[in-house]
Amino acid sequence: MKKGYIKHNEHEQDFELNIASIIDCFVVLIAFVLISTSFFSIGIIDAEVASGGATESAEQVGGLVIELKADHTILVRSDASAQEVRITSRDAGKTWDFDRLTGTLQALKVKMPELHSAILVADNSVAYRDVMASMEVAKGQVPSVNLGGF
Amino acid sequence: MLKKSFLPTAARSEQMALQITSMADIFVIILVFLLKSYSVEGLPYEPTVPLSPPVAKGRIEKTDATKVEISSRVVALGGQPVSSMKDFKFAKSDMDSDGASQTLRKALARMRPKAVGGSKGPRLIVLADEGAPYETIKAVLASAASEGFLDIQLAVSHAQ
Repeated sequence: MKKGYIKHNEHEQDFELNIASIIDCFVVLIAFVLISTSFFSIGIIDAEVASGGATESAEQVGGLVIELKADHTILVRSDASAQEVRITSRDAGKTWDFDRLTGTLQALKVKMPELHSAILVADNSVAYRDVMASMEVAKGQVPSVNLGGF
Repeated sequence: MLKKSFLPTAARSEQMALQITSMADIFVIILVFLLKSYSVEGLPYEPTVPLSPPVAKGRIEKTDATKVEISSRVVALGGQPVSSMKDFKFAKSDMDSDGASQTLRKALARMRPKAVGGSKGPRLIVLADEGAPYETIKAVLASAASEGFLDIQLAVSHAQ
């Protein structure tokens, strides 16, 4: 066994590593790591379930309800303002205007500094990606955003 | 001119010697880079059904919990398909009056004794395709809530 690592000349102390086999191992490891990138990395977003209807739950958590409509309009209702804020889509119902949503929520935070939670509801046809995108925007201003509407 | 520089100057013999040491260096650097990016960018997860979750900045937390996966054709619980769907819609016969899926509720009820407990009860991680309509998400959440899974977390594809 030992002989395999030593040059054939018995008196010589130098030995050579078989680098080719080490490279083989590295290639296999790299292939494994590259294949495993098909696993996607997940992050977690806490989403409490606001059951019992959006309005009822909103009263419990501070009165802020963000509603996503199918035509990409966002409605923001709260105790701080008597009227609901209607944020219409910028390009004829194709995209959500999250910048205005951020601005609206910032203005509400100024009026109601104790505002710490909101209910997010959406029409049935609104895609999950849009719900999560708006939740991410809302979480930037309000620490706790709960899903509602059921 | 350029071609000349790649050729060995005094190479008359047919044998070519590769610089294996430098190759090994490069492989080591690539390996370290891949392993580092693998460990930092979130929790690796392989879905049991084909789905593409929405991209968002989620919290990285190594939690163990029952996972419900929502794809366009099936809802899987703990890696096992429990409810079939067509274009993200449950069969009408599967829906109860509360807007929950009966098959999913039964599966959740079976899973509940084994479920990992969170702060508010059994914990559930929802992993849904980004194209799923909110109606489907509501049905799954209503099923979970009616079976006592109140500690619900939404899993997203971790944004860079």
